[in-house]
Amino acid sequence: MSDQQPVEFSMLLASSVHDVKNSLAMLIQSLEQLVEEDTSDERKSKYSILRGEASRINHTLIHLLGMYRLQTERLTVNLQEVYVTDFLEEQVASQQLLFDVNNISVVVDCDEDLTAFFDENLVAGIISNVLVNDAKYTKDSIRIEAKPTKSGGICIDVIDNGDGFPDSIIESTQSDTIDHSARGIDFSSGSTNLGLYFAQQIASLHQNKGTQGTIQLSNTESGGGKFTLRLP
Amino acid sequence: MQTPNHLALTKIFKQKTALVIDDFPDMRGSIRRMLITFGVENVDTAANGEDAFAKCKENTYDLIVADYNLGNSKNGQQILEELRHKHMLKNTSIYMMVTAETTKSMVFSALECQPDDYLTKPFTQTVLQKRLTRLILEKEALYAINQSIDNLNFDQAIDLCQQRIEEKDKYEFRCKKLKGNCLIQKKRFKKAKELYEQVLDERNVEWAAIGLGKAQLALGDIDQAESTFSNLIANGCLCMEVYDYLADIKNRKGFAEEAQSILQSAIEVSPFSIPRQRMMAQISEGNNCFGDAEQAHRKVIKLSQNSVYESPEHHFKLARCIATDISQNGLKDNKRLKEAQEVIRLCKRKYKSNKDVNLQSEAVLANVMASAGQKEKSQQAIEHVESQAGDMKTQTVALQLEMARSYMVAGQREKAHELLVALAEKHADDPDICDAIDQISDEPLTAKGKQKAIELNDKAKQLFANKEYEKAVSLFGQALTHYPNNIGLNLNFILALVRKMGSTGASQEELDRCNAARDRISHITDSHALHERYQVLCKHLEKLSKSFEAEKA
Repeated sequence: MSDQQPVEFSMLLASSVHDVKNSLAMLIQSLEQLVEEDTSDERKSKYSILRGEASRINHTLIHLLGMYRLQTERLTVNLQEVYVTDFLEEQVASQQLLFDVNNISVVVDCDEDLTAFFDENLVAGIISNVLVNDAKYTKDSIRIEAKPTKSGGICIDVIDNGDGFPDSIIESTQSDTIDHSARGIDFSSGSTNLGLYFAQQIASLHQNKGTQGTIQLSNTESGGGKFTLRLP
Repeated sequence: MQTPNHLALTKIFKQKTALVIDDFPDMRGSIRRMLITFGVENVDTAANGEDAFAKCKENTYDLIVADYNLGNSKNGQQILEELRHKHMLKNTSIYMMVTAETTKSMVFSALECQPDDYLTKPFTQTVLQKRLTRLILEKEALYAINQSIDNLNFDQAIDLCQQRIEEKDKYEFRCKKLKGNCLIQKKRFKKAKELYEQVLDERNVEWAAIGLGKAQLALGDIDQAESTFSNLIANGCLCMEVYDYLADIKNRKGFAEEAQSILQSAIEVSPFSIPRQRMMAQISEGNNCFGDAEQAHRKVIKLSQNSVYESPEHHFKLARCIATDISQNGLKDNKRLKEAQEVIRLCKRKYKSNKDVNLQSEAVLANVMASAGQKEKSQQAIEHVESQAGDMKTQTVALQLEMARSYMVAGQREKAHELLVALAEKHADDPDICDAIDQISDEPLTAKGKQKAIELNDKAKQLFANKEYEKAVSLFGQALTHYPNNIGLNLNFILALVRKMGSTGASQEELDRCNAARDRISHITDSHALHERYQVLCKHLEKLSKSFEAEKA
């Protein structure tokens, strides 16, 4: 904060994000109104593309701002008690159109009374990003399971029944930290993995009694992809 | 979605009254439409803070959805704080803040001023519905507790919280937080501390740490409270109340400059808290930073307009602050004098039908004139008040205190002393009046003040004997916040600091603190019993300053 310029840039960034988010909010709400008025399947699938891309823009924006915060100032985690079922259902609801149009069934498996401590907004950014990706790559179902861990934390699995993750991406989450400069971000291939890097950073910012959160990618026995988020 | 549950929920929504606050007409309309879709029949809208207050004065809303960023108007957080402060928002109601940010950047000035929930843009109708449903169900489940809190029946709320905690359902933690707040309200600090420690043992949550610090402070564990609050700030806590507490602790320990700079940073982020501005005014005035003090005094006057905080005392404090500036800095020009007179003039006009306030204003004016060296005019003002004030018995305490101040500044120390002694006798049981008396006089006059001075003296003597100069400095510093004019105390404070610098080396900050203490008692005459000690210490101080300057060069 000692240098004048970064402060100004951060203000600029924050206010731009504010503007873009207002626009996105209006865009998404108008889209949903259109969907309600017009139920033809062909249109719906086009709306769903619009909706999916709007979500992507939003996520990229969140990642961008988050990254900037991580690097310049301290990105602080606002630990709060969260009702996990409500939280997960909300993440699903925010992408409902995407699932409806692509005929994807989504199941949330979680004890109604389960609560956990995490930064709701930051973790929402992780889960909804995973859901939007899954909507693209799964065959027809997504299953979200949440369980308490022995140490008082929580483990959230997001499981799809698509073709699973490529080995290279799985490997990239197995090292202790995702090294975004070396392999995470590959601009030439068009896949930046920014989302994964962000998820990993956010997870590790969650700490309790010496342990920190982690993410993990794996493939299930039946071949689908599984994203695992563990928070202490 | 068409479950029986859904029908029941539509029913719940139907009974609610709602207010949407957003400066962006499209967003306002859009959220309003959504609420109507959920079944809410009465949805009002407001474009800014002013609008919102007007609506809240007319109606009691069950549900307020407010955008954080409202352009040039007050933001959603400030609206929340004001509503809570003016008791225009019940605890049984819901306040939801809509934000564009995903990260924690919202500043809340007090723990009680957090919204029930944050919703991040962009959101869909379903998400808003799910959130509101969740909140409504929670408010229903905890209705009896929140209602007791609204009725200020904290004992009942504590019992209800305990019952709910024992059910061990998903509201367990929420109830612990509410219970902690109620325990603090009831000043049951030991119980509160236990509760917070037990919560923190499980999980490091901010509200519990803030609560713990408050309880520690109230129980007198100043060092522990200091470390709790310092840790919170180091971890990026955005609750400005924590800054206020830490500043208060620093001030009590005698680190008034540090206290001022902590408050300054809190004010930069959140300038609308009256207690914070008041503390800022008091501390910076004590630090001889009259510009900062004046600014804070003016802010207090402005912020308290039309609020429960409004009082002529704020105007008097501002005028006295300018007067002290004039006399301490020997300001000869009339500009400052005119400014002080203008403050009094406005106060008189504002309270023109209140005779007592007018007399007090006159007394303050006497103080101002005396400070500016206009002895005759000051004397005239004093005589005028004396002739108008009538019998001692019918005078208000505020007026008598004000007169004592003016006598003091005008050099009529005996008269001031006589008046203060009479006041101290009559109001021995009123701690606020006693504090005010001892703050004006050179020596503690009240029984409580005398007792405290003896205790402090004994304690400090012991510390001196053990060569624990730093602790002695801190102790005298604390005492000085209560008795800033006490000659013996100021001398002891200087002595402790001089000794401390003798063992650890001098510093500019410590020299400044010595000089400020010396200036506070520079009116001491050679007939005073402590005059010799004063002169000896002044010489010591001079020597230290010179060698410090030489070292620096």
